[in-house]
Amino acid sequence: MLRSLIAKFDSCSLIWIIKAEIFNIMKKLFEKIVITSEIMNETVYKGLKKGYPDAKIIQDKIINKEILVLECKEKYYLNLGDGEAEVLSETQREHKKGISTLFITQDKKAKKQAMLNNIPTQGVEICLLEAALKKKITREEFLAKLYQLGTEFSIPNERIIEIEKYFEIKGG
Amino acid sequence: MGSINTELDENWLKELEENAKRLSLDQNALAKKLIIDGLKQLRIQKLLPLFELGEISIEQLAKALDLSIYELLQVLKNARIAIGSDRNQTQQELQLFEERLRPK
Repeated sequence: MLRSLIAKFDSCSLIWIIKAEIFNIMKKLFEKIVITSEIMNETVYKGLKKGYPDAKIIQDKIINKEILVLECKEKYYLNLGDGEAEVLSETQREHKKGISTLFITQDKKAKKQAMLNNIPTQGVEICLLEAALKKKITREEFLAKLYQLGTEFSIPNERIIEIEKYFEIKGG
Repeated sequence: MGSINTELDENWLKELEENAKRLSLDQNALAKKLIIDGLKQLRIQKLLPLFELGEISIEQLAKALDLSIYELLQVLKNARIAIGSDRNQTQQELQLFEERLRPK
């Protein structure tokens, strides 16, 4: 199986993996976890200002170089938010260069843009699925985290069902 | 800054006065706060359906509501608004996932 080397997270996805305590699973799956400076602004600086503890956790991971921050060289997709546009543009740039990279987003509109432009993309739940299929986590861990995400972040039931179904078919 | 003039029934005026006292605000300050809070609620009512349809992104929604992503996630949770792809987009995503993992 091809290993995705670089995962680029938008704000919502990054906050999810911190809140749901699945950052370590992402680390097992991806060689690098990358955000852009605008995502750092959203998730760290704005979060610290309003006293969100997850912002401090993200900041520490940046300091420890578990999360890498890159400057976006050129931003396209101006019909998205600044952070989403930066991450999507950077993923596209690297994908075109043949670098194995993925845009991790929960957002319907951002995901649609990625798919339309053939930019590899998936949500956090599919990352969990990938970890389970690659035996990085057990079946029980996968299902527990999937349901946890579903409840905490109101993921549409139909999405959870599709992912579970796929997992069962593919050898879960 | 502009100003507006409006008339209220006696019972509303009385309620405004009582609440202003309770919150240690003057009546004008409370009226201003209520108008702004109400307008923000209207903005949320207008924009949430667009977010649910995928016509605006989560960051665009946060910006339009003048909220951080953290605050918005809380608002969406309280309003029980689902975040994430519907069945069709999930199926498409799974298909792309399968293609990506297929040995070349």
